[in-house]
Amino acid sequence: MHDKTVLLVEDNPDDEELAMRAFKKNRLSNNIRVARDGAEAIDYFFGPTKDSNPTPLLILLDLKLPKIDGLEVLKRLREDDKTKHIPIVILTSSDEEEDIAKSYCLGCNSYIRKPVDFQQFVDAVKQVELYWLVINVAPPERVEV
Amino acid sequence: MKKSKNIYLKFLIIAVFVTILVIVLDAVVMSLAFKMGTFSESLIYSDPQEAWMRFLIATGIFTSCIYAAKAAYTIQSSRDEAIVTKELLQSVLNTIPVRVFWKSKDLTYLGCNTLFANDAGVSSADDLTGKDDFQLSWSKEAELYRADDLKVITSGAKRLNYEEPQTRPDGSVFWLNTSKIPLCDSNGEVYGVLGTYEDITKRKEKEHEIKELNATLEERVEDRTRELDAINKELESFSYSVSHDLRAPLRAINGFGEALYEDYSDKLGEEGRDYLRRMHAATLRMGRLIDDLLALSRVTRGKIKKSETDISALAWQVIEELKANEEDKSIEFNVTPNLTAECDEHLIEVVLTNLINNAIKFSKGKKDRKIVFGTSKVNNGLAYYVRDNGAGFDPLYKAKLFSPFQRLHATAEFEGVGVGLATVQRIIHRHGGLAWAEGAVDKGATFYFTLPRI
Repeated sequence: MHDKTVLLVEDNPDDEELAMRAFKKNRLSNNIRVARDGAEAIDYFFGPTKDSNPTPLLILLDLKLPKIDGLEVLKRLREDDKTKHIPIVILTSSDEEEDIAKSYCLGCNSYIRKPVDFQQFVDAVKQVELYWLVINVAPPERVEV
Repeated sequence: MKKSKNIYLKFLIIAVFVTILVIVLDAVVMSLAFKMGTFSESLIYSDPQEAWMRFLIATGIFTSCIYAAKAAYTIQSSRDEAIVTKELLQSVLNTIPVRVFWKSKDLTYLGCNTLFANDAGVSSADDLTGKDDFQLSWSKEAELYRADDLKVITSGAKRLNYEEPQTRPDGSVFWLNTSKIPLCDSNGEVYGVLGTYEDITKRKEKEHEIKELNATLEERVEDRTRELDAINKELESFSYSVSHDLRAPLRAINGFGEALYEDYSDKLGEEGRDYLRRMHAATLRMGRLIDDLLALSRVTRGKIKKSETDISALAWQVIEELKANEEDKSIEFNVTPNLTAECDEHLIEVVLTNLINNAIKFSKGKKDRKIVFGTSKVNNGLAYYVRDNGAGFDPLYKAKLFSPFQRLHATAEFEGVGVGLATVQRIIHRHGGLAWAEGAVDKGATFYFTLPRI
Protein backbone atom coordinates (compact mmCIF):
# COMPACT_ATOMS: atom_id res chain seq x y z
CA MET A 1 0.00 0.00 0.00
CA HIS A 2 1.27 3.45 -0.94
CA ASP A 3 2.43 5.49 2.05
CA LYS A 4 -0.43 7.73 3.08
CA THR A 5 1.03 10.00 5.72
CA VAL A 6 -1.16 12.29 7.79
CA LEU A 7 0.35 14.92 10.11
CA LEU A 8 -1.75 15.58 13.19
CA VAL A 9 -0.87 18.81 15.02
CA GLU A 10 -2.47 18.43 18.44
CA ASP A 11 -1.28 19.42 21.91
CA ASN A 12 -4.00 17.71 23.97
CA PRO A 13 -2.99 14.06 24.66
CA ASP A 14 -6.63 13.01 25.12
CA ASP A 15 -7.59 14.49 21.77
CA GLU A 16 -4.53 12.85 20.23
CA GLU A 17 -5.52 9.46 21.63
CA LEU A 18 -9.11 9.87 20.47
CA ALA A 19 -7.95 10.94 17.00
CA MET A 20 -5.65 7.92 16.80
CA ARG A 21 -8.57 5.71 17.78
CA ALA A 22 -10.67 7.27 15.05
CA PHE A 23 -7.88 6.78 12.47
CA LYS A 24 -7.51 3.16 13.53
CA LYS A 25 -11.24 2.56 13.13
CA ASN A 26 -11.26 4.09 9.68
CA ARG A 27 -8.10 2.34 8.46
CA LEU A 28 -7.62 4.83 5.68
CA SER A 29 -4.18 6.17 6.52
CA ASN A 30 -1.26 3.98 7.54
CA ASN A 31 1.22 6.54 8.78
CA ILE A 32 0.08 9.06 11.36
CA ARG A 33 2.72 11.53 12.52
CA VAL A 34 2.02 13.79 15.47
CA ALA A 35 3.39 17.26 16.25
CA ARG A 36 2.51 18.30 19.81
CA ASP A 37 2.87 22.06 19.41
CA GLY A 38 3.27 24.68 16.68
CA ALA A 39 7.06 24.67 16.84
CA GLU A 40 7.20 20.89 16.33
CA ALA A 41 4.92 21.27 13.31
CA ILE A 42 7.22 23.87 11.79
CA ASP A 43 10.26 21.72 12.59
CA TYR A 44 8.68 18.75 10.81
CA PHE A 45 9.04 20.67 7.54
CA PHE A 46 11.93 23.06 8.16
CA GLY A 47 13.89 21.55 11.10
CA PRO A 48 17.07 19.39 11.01
CA THR A 49 15.16 16.14 10.38
CA LYS A 50 13.04 17.57 7.56
CA ASP A 51 14.60 15.36 4.88
CA SER A 52 13.73 12.14 6.68
CA ASN A 53 10.10 13.25 7.26
CA PRO A 54 7.69 12.13 4.52
CA THR A 55 5.55 14.87 3.00
CA PRO A 56 2.03 14.27 4.36
CA LEU A 57 -1.01 14.02 2.11
CA LEU A 58 -2.99 15.88 4.73
CA ILE A 59 -2.35 18.05 7.75
CA LEU A 60 -4.92 18.15 10.58
CA LEU A 61 -4.18 21.36 12.44
CA ASP A 62 -5.47 22.50 15.82
CA LEU A 63 -5.62 26.27 16.34
CA LYS A 64 -4.85 26.71 20.02
CA LEU A 65 -1.33 25.42 20.38
CA PRO A 66 1.58 26.16 22.69
CA LYS A 67 4.63 28.11 21.44
CA ILE A 68 3.42 28.87 17.91
CA ASP A 69 -0.34 28.90 17.42
CA GLY A 70 -2.18 27.12 14.62
CA LEU A 71 -2.85 30.25 12.55
CA GLU A 72 0.87 31.10 12.57
CA VAL A 73 1.76 27.52 11.53
CA LEU A 74 -0.78 27.78 8.70
CA LYS A 75 0.66 31.11 7.61
CA ARG A 76 4.24 29.82 7.51
CA LEU A 77 3.34 26.63 5.64
CA ARG A 78 1.45 28.65 3.04
CA GLU A 79 4.37 31.06 2.62
CA ASP A 80 6.83 28.34 1.66
CA ASP A 81 6.86 26.90 -1.85
CA LYS A 82 7.54 23.42 -0.51
CA THR A 83 4.49 23.29 1.72
CA LYS A 84 2.00 25.70 0.23
CA HIS A 85 0.09 22.99 -1.68
CA ILE A 86 -0.36 20.49 1.14
CA PRO A 87 -4.05 20.20 2.05
CA ILE A 88 -4.59 21.57 5.55
CA VAL A 89 -7.80 20.91 7.50
CA ILE A 90 -8.34 22.93 10.67
CA LEU A 91 -9.61 20.67 13.44
CA THR A 92 -10.45 22.77 16.47
CA SER A 93 -12.83 23.46 19.35
CA SER A 94 -13.42 27.02 18.26
CA ASP A 95 -16.34 28.10 16.16
CA GLU A 96 -15.54 31.79 16.61
CA GLU A 97 -16.22 33.65 13.40
CA GLU A 98 -12.88 35.38 13.62
CA ASP A 99 -10.96 32.09 13.76
CA ILE A 100 -12.91 30.68 10.83
CA ALA A 101 -12.40 33.81 8.73
CA LYS A 102 -8.68 34.05 9.53
CA SER A 103 -8.12 30.37 8.76
CA TYR A 104 -9.69 30.66 5.33
CA CYS A 105 -7.85 33.93 4.63
CA LEU A 106 -4.57 32.21 5.39
CA GLY A 107 -5.45 29.41 3.00
CA CYS A 108 -6.80 26.40 4.89
CA ASN A 109 -8.66 23.87 2.74
CA SER A 110 -11.36 23.02 5.23
CA TYR A 111 -12.49 23.91 8.76
CA ILE A 112 -14.00 21.36 11.13
CA ARG A 113 -15.18 21.94 14.65
CA LYS A 114 -14.46 19.01 16.95
CA PRO A 115 -17.80 17.65 18.10
CA VAL A 116 -18.23 16.57 21.74
CA ASP A 117 -19.81 13.30 20.65
CA PHE A 118 -17.08 10.76 19.82
CA GLN A 119 -19.24 9.00 17.23
CA GLN A 120 -19.63 12.27 15.37
CA PHE A 121 -15.89 12.85 15.68
CA VAL A 122 -15.08 9.44 14.21
CA ASP A 123 -17.50 10.17 11.42
CA ALA A 124 -15.96 13.58 10.71
CA VAL A 125 -12.40 12.15 10.65
CA LYS A 126 -13.58 9.34 8.37
CA GLN A 127 -15.09 11.74 5.88
CA VAL A 128 -12.03 13.97 5.93
CA GLU A 129 -9.69 11.04 5.33
CA LEU A 130 -11.95 9.58 2.68
CA TYR A 131 -12.07 12.83 0.81
CA TRP A 132 -8.47 14.01 1.07
CA LEU A 133 -6.74 10.64 0.90
CA VAL A 134 -8.98 8.75 -1.49
CA ILE A 135 -11.31 10.95 -3.53
CA ASN A 136 -9.14 14.02 -3.88
CA VAL A 137 -6.28 14.01 -6.38
CA ALA A 138 -3.22 15.09 -4.37
CA PRO A 139 -0.80 17.73 -5.66
CA PRO A 140 2.39 16.25 -7.22
CA GLU A 141 5.54 16.08 -5.07
CA ARG A 142 7.13 18.85 -7.13
CA VAL A 143 4.74 21.63 -7.95
CA GLU A 144 6.02 23.96 -10.62
CA VAL A 145 3.91 26.19 -12.83
CA MET B 1 -41.58 126.01 40.90
CA LYS B 2 -42.32 127.50 44.33
CA LYS B 3 -38.96 129.24 44.41
CA SER B 4 -39.54 130.97 41.06
CA LYS B 5 -43.02 132.17 42.13
CA ASN B 6 -41.55 133.70 45.26
CA ILE B 7 -39.04 135.57 43.21
CA TYR B 8 -41.75 136.88 40.93
CA LEU B 9 -43.70 138.24 43.93
CA LYS B 10 -40.55 139.79 45.40
CA PHE B 11 -39.87 141.63 42.15
CA LEU B 12 -43.47 142.90 41.99
CA ILE B 13 -43.29 144.35 45.50
CA ILE B 14 -39.89 145.90 44.77
CA ALA B 15 -41.34 147.41 41.57
CA VAL B 16 -44.25 149.06 43.49
CA PHE B 17 -41.88 150.35 46.16
CA VAL B 18 -39.38 151.72 43.68
CA THR B 19 -42.14 153.50 41.77
CA ILE B 20 -43.58 155.10 44.94
CA LEU B 21 -40.04 155.95 46.05
CA VAL B 22 -39.31 157.65 42.72
CA ILE B 23 -42.54 159.67 42.86
CA VAL B 24 -41.81 160.79 46.43
CA LEU B 25 -38.15 161.58 45.69
CA ASP B 26 -39.21 163.51 42.65
CA ALA B 27 -41.56 165.64 44.75
CA VAL B 28 -38.86 166.26 47.37
CA VAL B 29 -36.28 167.15 44.77
CA MET B 30 -38.72 169.47 43.03
CA SER B 31 -39.72 171.28 46.21
CA LEU B 32 -36.16 171.68 47.49
CA ALA B 33 -34.17 172.24 44.37
CA PHE B 34 -36.50 174.29 42.36
CA LYS B 35 -38.38 175.85 45.29
CA MET B 36 -41.63 175.31 43.61
CA GLY B 37 -43.54 175.36 46.85
CA THR B 38 -43.94 173.11 49.77
CA PHE B 39 -43.62 169.31 49.62
CA SER B 40 -47.37 168.90 49.62
CA GLU B 41 -47.66 171.55 46.97
CA SER B 42 -45.16 169.82 44.77
CA LEU B 43 -47.14 166.57 45.11
CA ILE B 44 -50.09 168.31 43.63
CA TYR B 45 -49.12 168.91 40.11
CA SER B 46 -50.05 172.39 39.26
CA ASP B 47 -48.61 172.14 35.83
CA PRO B 48 -50.55 169.49 33.96
CA GLN B 49 -47.70 168.96 31.45
CA GLU B 50 -45.23 168.38 34.24
CA ALA B 51 -47.66 166.09 36.02
CA TRP B 52 -48.03 164.07 32.81
CA MET B 53 -44.30 163.79 32.45
CA ARG B 54 -43.89 162.59 35.99
CA PHE B 55 -46.65 160.07 35.50
CA LEU B 56 -44.91 158.76 32.39
CA ILE B 57 -41.58 158.42 34.19
CA ALA B 58 -43.24 156.58 37.08
CA THR B 59 -45.06 154.22 34.69
CA GLY B 60 -41.82 153.58 32.78
CA ILE B 61 -39.96 152.68 35.94
CA PHE B 62 -42.83 150.45 37.05
CA THR B 63 -42.97 148.65 33.70
CA SER B 64 -39.19 148.14 33.70
CA CYS B 65 -39.43 146.63 37.15
CA ILE B 66 -42.17 144.26 35.98
CA TYR B 67 -40.08 143.20 32.96
CA ALA B 68 -37.08 142.66 35.17
CA ALA B 69 -39.23 140.50 37.42
CA LYS B 70 -40.47 138.52 34.46
CA ALA B 71 -36.96 137.97 33.14
CA ALA B 72 -35.78 136.85 36.57
CA TYR B 73 -38.71 134.47 36.74
CA THR B 74 -37.92 132.93 33.35
CA ILE B 75 -34.28 132.41 34.24
CA GLN B 76 -35.17 130.89 37.58
CA SER B 77 -37.83 128.58 36.20
CA SER B 78 -35.53 127.22 33.47
CA ARG B 79 -32.95 126.68 36.17
CA ASP B 80 -35.61 124.83 38.17
CA GLU B 81 -36.51 122.70 35.17
CA ALA B 82 -32.88 121.81 34.64
CA ILE B 83 -32.64 120.81 38.28
CA VAL B 84 -35.81 118.75 38.01
CA THR B 85 -34.54 117.02 34.85
CA LYS B 86 -31.22 116.31 36.50
CA GLU B 87 -32.91 114.92 39.60
CA LEU B 88 -35.21 112.79 37.48
CA LEU B 89 -32.28 111.52 35.44
CA GLN B 90 -30.31 110.73 38.57
CA SER B 91 -33.20 108.84 40.15
CA VAL B 92 -33.66 106.89 36.92
CA LEU B 93 -29.96 106.08 36.90
CA ASN B 94 -30.11 105.02 40.52
CA THR B 95 -33.14 102.81 39.97
CA ILE B 96 -32.12 100.80 36.90
CA PRO B 97 -30.31 97.56 37.71
CA VAL B 98 -27.25 98.33 35.59
CA ARG B 99 -24.17 100.30 36.51
CA VAL B 100 -23.74 103.63 34.69
CA PHE B 101 -20.74 105.98 34.66
CA TRP B 102 -19.37 108.64 32.44
CA LYS B 103 -15.88 109.96 32.01
CA SER B 104 -14.33 113.01 30.46
CA LYS B 105 -11.92 112.95 27.54
CA ASP B 106 -8.98 112.78 29.97
CA LEU B 107 -10.58 109.60 31.41
CA THR B 108 -11.49 111.02 34.82
CA TYR B 109 -14.95 110.31 36.17
CA LEU B 110 -17.67 112.93 35.62
CA GLY B 111 -20.49 111.00 37.26
CA CYS B 112 -22.09 107.64 37.96
CA ASN B 113 -25.14 105.98 39.49
CA THR B 114 -25.36 104.58 43.01
CA LEU B 115 -24.73 100.98 41.97
CA PHE B 116 -21.53 101.99 40.28
CA ALA B 117 -20.48 104.06 43.31
CA ASN B 118 -21.13 100.98 45.47
CA ASP B 119 -18.97 98.82 43.21
CA ALA B 120 -16.20 101.42 43.43
CA GLY B 121 -16.57 101.48 47.20
CA VAL B 122 -17.37 105.22 47.44
CA SER B 123 -20.40 106.62 49.26
CA SER B 124 -21.65 108.92 46.48
CA ALA B 125 -21.09 109.89 42.90
CA ASP B 126 -19.49 113.15 44.03
CA ASP B 127 -16.68 111.25 45.73
CA LEU B 128 -15.79 109.72 42.39
CA THR B 129 -15.80 112.87 40.30
CA GLY B 130 -12.32 113.78 39.10
CA LYS B 131 -10.77 110.45 39.93
CA ASP B 132 -9.38 108.03 37.36
CA ASP B 133 -9.33 104.19 37.31
CA PHE B 134 -5.83 103.95 38.78
CA GLN B 135 -7.15 105.47 41.99
CA LEU B 136 -9.89 102.88 42.40
CA SER B 137 -9.99 99.27 43.59
CA TRP B 138 -9.66 98.01 40.03
CA SER B 139 -6.27 99.62 39.43
CA LYS B 140 -5.18 96.21 38.06
CA GLU B 141 -7.73 96.47 35.27
CA ALA B 142 -7.33 100.23 34.79
CA GLU B 143 -5.17 99.89 31.67
CA LEU B 144 -7.72 97.57 30.12
CA TYR B 145 -10.63 99.92 30.84
CA ARG B 146 -8.78 103.00 29.67
CA ALA B 147 -7.71 101.32 26.44
CA ASP B 148 -11.38 100.61 25.67
CA ASP B 149 -12.38 104.16 26.69
CA LEU B 150 -9.77 105.62 24.36
CA LYS B 151 -10.88 103.40 21.50
CA VAL B 152 -14.45 104.66 21.88
CA ILE B 153 -13.39 108.30 22.27
CA THR B 154 -10.98 108.33 19.33
CA SER B 155 -13.12 106.29 16.95
CA GLY B 156 -16.47 107.72 18.06
CA ALA B 157 -17.88 104.21 17.69
CA LYS B 158 -19.81 102.18 20.26
CA ARG B 159 -18.36 99.06 21.86
CA LEU B 160 -21.20 96.81 22.96
CA ASN B 161 -21.59 93.71 25.15
CA TYR B 162 -18.12 92.51 25.93
CA GLU B 163 -16.99 90.68 29.03
CA GLU B 164 -14.27 91.86 31.40
CA PRO B 165 -13.19 91.34 35.01
CA GLN B 166 -13.43 93.91 37.80
CA THR B 167 -11.65 93.89 41.16
CA ARG B 168 -13.84 95.22 43.96
CA PRO B 169 -12.54 97.05 47.08
CA ASP B 170 -12.58 93.79 49.10
CA GLY B 171 -10.31 92.15 46.52
CA SER B 172 -12.96 89.88 45.01
CA VAL B 173 -13.12 89.69 41.23
CA PHE B 174 -16.43 90.06 39.43
CA TRP B 175 -17.34 89.55 35.80
CA LEU B 176 -19.03 92.30 33.82
CA ASN B 177 -20.89 92.58 30.57
CA THR B 178 -19.91 96.09 29.49
CA SER B 179 -20.99 98.54 26.77
CA LYS B 180 -19.45 101.93 26.09
CA ILE B 181 -20.65 104.75 23.85
CA PRO B 182 -19.07 108.11 23.05
CA LEU B 183 -20.57 111.30 24.58
CA CYS B 184 -20.96 114.08 22.00
CA ASP B 185 -21.83 117.74 22.37
CA SER B 186 -24.27 119.62 20.10
CA ASN B 187 -21.51 120.04 17.51
CA GLY B 188 -20.89 116.35 17.40
CA GLU B 189 -17.56 116.69 19.19
CA VAL B 190 -16.74 113.77 21.50
CA TYR B 191 -16.20 115.06 25.01
CA GLY B 192 -16.25 111.80 26.95
CA VAL B 193 -17.43 108.26 27.24
CA LEU B 194 -20.55 106.74 28.81
CA GLY B 195 -20.29 103.21 30.11
CA THR B 196 -22.80 100.71 31.45
CA TYR B 197 -22.33 97.20 32.69
CA GLU B 198 -24.20 94.33 34.19
CA ASP B 199 -22.80 92.06 36.88
CA ILE B 200 -22.69 88.62 35.21
CA THR B 201 -20.52 86.94 37.85
CA LYS B 202 -23.24 84.50 38.87
CA ARG B 203 -23.95 83.58 35.26
CA LYS B 204 -20.22 83.13 34.68
CA GLU B 205 -19.94 80.93 37.74
CA LYS B 206 -22.86 78.81 36.53
CA GLU B 207 -21.29 78.57 33.07
CA HIS B 208 -18.03 77.54 34.65
CA GLU B 209 -19.82 74.98 36.81
CA ILE B 210 -21.61 73.56 33.77
CA LYS B 211 -18.35 73.43 31.84
CA GLU B 212 -16.65 71.63 34.71
CA LEU B 213 -19.59 69.26 35.06
CA ASN B 214 -19.48 68.52 31.36
CA ALA B 215 -15.77 67.95 31.51
CA THR B 216 -16.02 65.57 34.47
CA LEU B 217 -19.01 63.89 32.84
CA GLU B 218 -17.02 63.31 29.68
CA GLU B 219 -14.16 62.03 31.76
CA ARG B 220 -16.48 59.70 33.61
CA VAL B 221 -18.05 58.49 30.37
CA GLU B 222 -14.56 57.85 28.98
CA ASP B 223 -13.60 56.00 32.14
CA ARG B 224 -16.72 53.89 31.97
CA THR B 225 -16.19 53.22 28.26
CA ARG B 226 -12.65 52.10 28.97
CA GLU B 227 -13.89 49.89 31.79
CA LEU B 228 -16.60 48.46 29.55
CA ASP B 229 -14.11 47.86 26.75
CA ALA B 230 -11.87 46.04 29.19
CA ILE B 231 -14.79 43.97 30.48
CA ASN B 232 -15.86 43.18 26.91
CA LYS B 233 -12.33 42.11 26.03
CA GLU B 234 -12.23 39.97 29.13
CA LEU B 235 -15.61 38.50 28.26
CA GLU B 236 -14.39 37.79 24.74
CA SER B 237 -11.29 35.97 25.92
CA PHE B 238 -13.43 34.21 28.53
CA SER B 239 -15.84 33.00 25.87
CA TYR B 240 -12.96 31.94 23.70
CA SER B 241 -11.46 29.95 26.48
CA VAL B 242 -14.86 28.48 27.36
CA SER B 243 -15.33 27.50 23.76
CA HIS B 244 -11.92 25.77 23.63
CA ASP B 245 -11.01 24.60 27.06
CA LEU B 246 -14.35 23.52 28.52
CA ARG B 247 -15.18 21.38 25.56
CA ALA B 248 -11.87 19.51 25.46
CA PRO B 249 -12.40 17.55 28.73
CA LEU B 250 -15.98 16.84 27.62
CA ARG B 251 -14.70 15.29 24.43
CA ALA B 252 -12.32 13.17 26.48
CA ILE B 253 -15.07 11.96 28.86
CA ASN B 254 -17.37 11.24 25.96
CA GLY B 255 -14.70 9.67 23.76
CA PHE B 256 -13.10 7.41 26.36
CA GLY B 257 -16.53 6.48 27.73
CA GLU B 258 -17.39 5.40 24.23
CA ALA B 259 -14.12 3.47 23.97
CA LEU B 260 -14.85 1.79 27.27
CA TYR B 261 -18.31 0.88 26.04
CA GLU B 262 -16.98 -0.54 22.80
CA ASP B 263 -13.95 -2.40 24.12
CA TYR B 264 -15.09 -3.55 27.57
CA SER B 265 -18.83 -3.71 27.22
CA ASP B 266 -19.02 -7.40 28.13
CA LYS B 267 -17.07 -6.89 31.36
CA LEU B 268 -19.16 -3.93 32.54
CA GLY B 269 -22.50 -5.65 32.94
CA GLU B 270 -25.85 -4.02 32.28
CA GLU B 271 -25.56 -1.56 35.21
CA GLY B 272 -22.09 -0.44 34.11
CA ARG B 273 -23.31 0.06 30.58
CA ASP B 274 -26.23 2.11 31.87
CA TYR B 275 -23.86 4.37 33.81
CA LEU B 276 -21.80 4.87 30.68
CA ARG B 277 -24.90 5.78 28.68
CA ARG B 278 -25.81 8.36 31.34
CA MET B 279 -22.27 9.80 31.22
CA HIS B 280 -22.52 9.97 27.47
CA ALA B 281 -25.87 11.82 27.58
CA ALA B 282 -24.53 14.20 30.24
CA THR B 283 -21.52 15.15 28.13
CA LEU B 284 -23.75 15.90 25.15
CA ARG B 285 -26.00 18.01 27.31
CA MET B 286 -23.09 19.95 28.71
CA GLY B 287 -21.79 20.45 25.19
CA ARG B 288 -25.12 22.01 24.19
CA LEU B 289 -25.08 24.16 27.32
CA ILE B 290 -21.67 25.54 26.45
CA ASP B 291 -22.75 26.21 22.87
CA ASP B 292 -25.89 28.03 24.02
CA LEU B 293 -23.91 30.12 26.49
CA LEU B 294 -21.50 31.04 23.75
CA ALA B 295 -24.41 32.03 21.52
CA LEU B 296 -25.79 34.20 24.33
CA SER B 297 -22.47 35.93 24.88
CA ARG B 298 -22.03 36.41 21.13
CA VAL B 299 -25.36 38.20 21.01
CA THR B 300 -24.10 40.66 23.62
CA ARG B 301 -20.84 41.29 21.86
CA GLY B 302 -20.47 42.56 18.33
CA LYS B 303 -22.20 45.44 16.62
CA ILE B 304 -25.84 45.52 15.54
CA LYS B 305 -26.15 45.97 11.79
CA LYS B 306 -29.69 47.19 11.14
CA SER B 307 -31.35 47.07 7.75
CA GLU B 308 -34.89 46.96 6.37
CA THR B 309 -35.84 43.28 6.74
CA ASP B 310 -38.74 41.23 5.36
CA ILE B 311 -39.49 39.58 8.66
CA SER B 312 -42.32 37.42 7.25
CA ALA B 313 -39.92 35.88 4.73
CA LEU B 314 -37.40 35.38 7.54
CA ALA B 315 -40.05 33.59 9.62
CA TRP B 316 -40.84 31.23 6.72
CA GLN B 317 -37.15 30.51 6.20
CA VAL B 318 -36.78 29.61 9.89
CA ILE B 319 -39.93 27.47 9.77
CA GLU B 320 -38.69 25.53 6.72
CA GLU B 321 -35.39 24.78 8.46
CA LEU B 322 -37.07 23.65 11.68
CA LYS B 323 -39.71 21.63 9.84
CA ALA B 324 -36.97 19.54 8.22
CA ASN B 325 -35.94 18.19 11.65
CA GLU B 326 -39.50 17.72 12.92
CA GLU B 327 -41.12 14.32 12.74
CA ASP B 328 -44.70 15.59 13.10
CA LYS B 329 -45.48 16.94 9.63
CA SER B 330 -49.03 17.93 10.57
CA ILE B 331 -48.16 21.16 12.41
CA GLU B 332 -50.02 24.08 10.88
CA PHE B 333 -47.86 27.18 10.39
CA ASN B 334 -49.43 30.57 9.77
CA VAL B 335 -47.37 33.70 9.00
CA THR B 336 -48.87 37.17 8.43
CA PRO B 337 -47.39 38.26 5.07
CA ASN B 338 -45.39 41.42 4.28
CA LEU B 339 -44.24 42.27 7.79
CA THR B 340 -41.08 44.37 7.77
CA ALA B 341 -38.79 45.73 10.45
CA GLU B 342 -35.62 47.78 10.79
CA CYS B 343 -33.37 45.26 12.49
CA ASP B 344 -30.24 43.12 12.45
CA GLU B 345 -31.42 40.30 10.21
CA HIS B 346 -29.04 37.70 11.60
CA LEU B 347 -29.95 38.44 15.24
CA ILE B 348 -33.71 38.48 14.55
CA GLU B 349 -33.28 35.16 12.80
CA VAL B 350 -31.83 33.88 16.09
CA VAL B 351 -34.90 35.31 17.90
CA LEU B 352 -37.36 33.68 15.51
CA THR B 353 -35.48 30.39 15.57
CA ASN B 354 -35.62 30.33 19.37
CA LEU B 355 -39.30 31.30 19.59
CA ILE B 356 -40.56 29.04 16.80
CA ASN B 357 -38.39 26.17 18.02
CA ASN B 358 -39.90 26.66 21.51
CA ALA B 359 -43.39 26.70 20.02
CA ILE B 360 -42.67 23.39 18.26
CA LYS B 361 -41.05 21.93 21.38
CA PHE B 362 -43.75 22.90 23.86
CA SER B 363 -46.67 21.81 21.66
CA LYS B 364 -45.26 18.30 21.24
CA GLY B 365 -47.88 15.63 21.87
CA LYS B 366 -50.84 18.00 21.38
CA LYS B 367 -53.51 17.54 18.77
CA ASP B 368 -54.03 20.09 15.93
CA ARG B 369 -50.74 21.85 16.60
CA LYS B 370 -50.84 25.37 15.29
CA ILE B 371 -48.06 27.98 15.33
CA VAL B 372 -48.74 31.58 14.30
CA PHE B 373 -46.39 34.46 13.59
CA GLY B 374 -48.17 37.81 13.43
CA THR B 375 -48.51 41.27 14.89
CA SER B 376 -50.81 43.00 17.32
CA LYS B 377 -51.22 46.63 18.31
CA VAL B 378 -49.73 47.69 21.65
CA ASN B 379 -49.60 51.08 23.41
CA ASN B 380 -46.78 52.56 21.40
CA GLY B 381 -46.84 50.67 18.14
CA LEU B 382 -46.66 47.17 16.83
CA ALA B 383 -45.66 43.97 18.63
CA TYR B 384 -44.63 40.85 16.73
CA TYR B 385 -45.66 37.58 18.29
CA VAL B 386 -45.19 33.82 18.03
CA ARG B 387 -48.20 31.91 19.33
CA ASP B 388 -48.67 28.19 19.93
CA ASN B 389 -51.42 26.02 21.39
CA GLY B 390 -49.05 23.89 23.43
CA ALA B 391 -48.23 23.29 27.08
CA GLY B 392 -48.21 26.98 28.00
CA PHE B 393 -46.86 28.09 31.37
CA ASP B 394 -48.00 29.22 34.80
CA PRO B 395 -48.29 33.04 34.59
CA LEU B 396 -47.02 33.18 38.17
CA TYR B 397 -43.52 32.46 36.88
CA LYS B 398 -43.77 34.80 33.91
CA ALA B 399 -40.90 36.98 35.13
CA LYS B 400 -38.55 33.99 35.38
CA LEU B 401 -39.03 32.95 31.77
CA PHE B 402 -36.42 35.28 30.33
CA SER B 403 -33.65 34.71 32.89
CA PRO B 404 -30.85 32.38 31.81
CA PHE B 405 -31.04 28.80 33.16
CA GLN B 406 -34.61 29.25 34.39
CA ARG B 407 -36.80 26.42 33.25
CA LEU B 408 -40.47 26.00 33.96
CA HIS B 409 -40.58 22.44 32.73
CA ALA B 410 -38.60 19.36 33.76
CA THR B 411 -35.78 18.38 31.43
CA ALA B 412 -37.33 14.96 30.97
CA GLU B 413 -40.53 16.60 29.74
CA PHE B 414 -39.01 19.13 27.37
CA GLU B 415 -35.28 19.17 26.72
CA GLY B 416 -33.31 22.39 26.71
CA VAL B 417 -30.92 24.37 28.87
CA GLY B 418 -32.91 27.55 29.44
CA VAL B 419 -30.76 30.03 27.58
CA GLY B 420 -32.96 30.53 24.49
CA LEU B 421 -35.37 33.10 25.92
CA ALA B 422 -32.53 34.96 27.68
CA THR B 423 -30.89 35.22 24.27
CA VAL B 424 -34.16 36.45 22.73
CA GLN B 425 -34.55 39.11 25.39
CA ARG B 426 -30.97 40.28 25.06
CA ILE B 427 -31.29 40.66 21.30
CA ILE B 428 -34.59 42.56 21.59
CA HIS B 429 -33.15 44.84 24.29
CA ARG B 430 -30.18 45.55 22.07
CA HIS B 431 -32.70 46.68 19.42
CA GLY B 432 -34.30 49.02 21.98
CA GLY B 433 -37.42 46.85 22.15
CA LEU B 434 -39.26 44.81 24.75
CA ALA B 435 -39.97 41.09 25.02
CA TRP B 436 -42.74 39.55 27.12
CA ALA B 437 -44.96 36.50 27.25
CA GLU B 438 -48.57 35.61 27.92
CA GLY B 439 -49.97 32.18 28.56
CA ALA B 440 -51.61 29.68 30.87
CA VAL B 441 -50.99 26.04 31.67
CA ASP B 442 -52.22 23.85 28.78
CA LYS B 443 -53.63 26.90 26.99
CA GLY B 444 -50.62 27.70 24.85
CA ALA B 445 -48.16 30.58 25.01
CA THR B 446 -47.67 33.81 23.09
CA PHE B 447 -44.27 35.48 23.00
CA TYR B 448 -44.26 39.15 22.02
CA PHE B 449 -41.42 41.46 21.02
CA THR B 450 -41.20 45.00 19.70
CA LEU B 451 -38.64 46.50 17.31
CA PRO B 452 -38.96 50.27 17.57
CA ARG B 453 -38.07 52.34 14.53
CA ILE B 454 -35.79 55.07 15.83
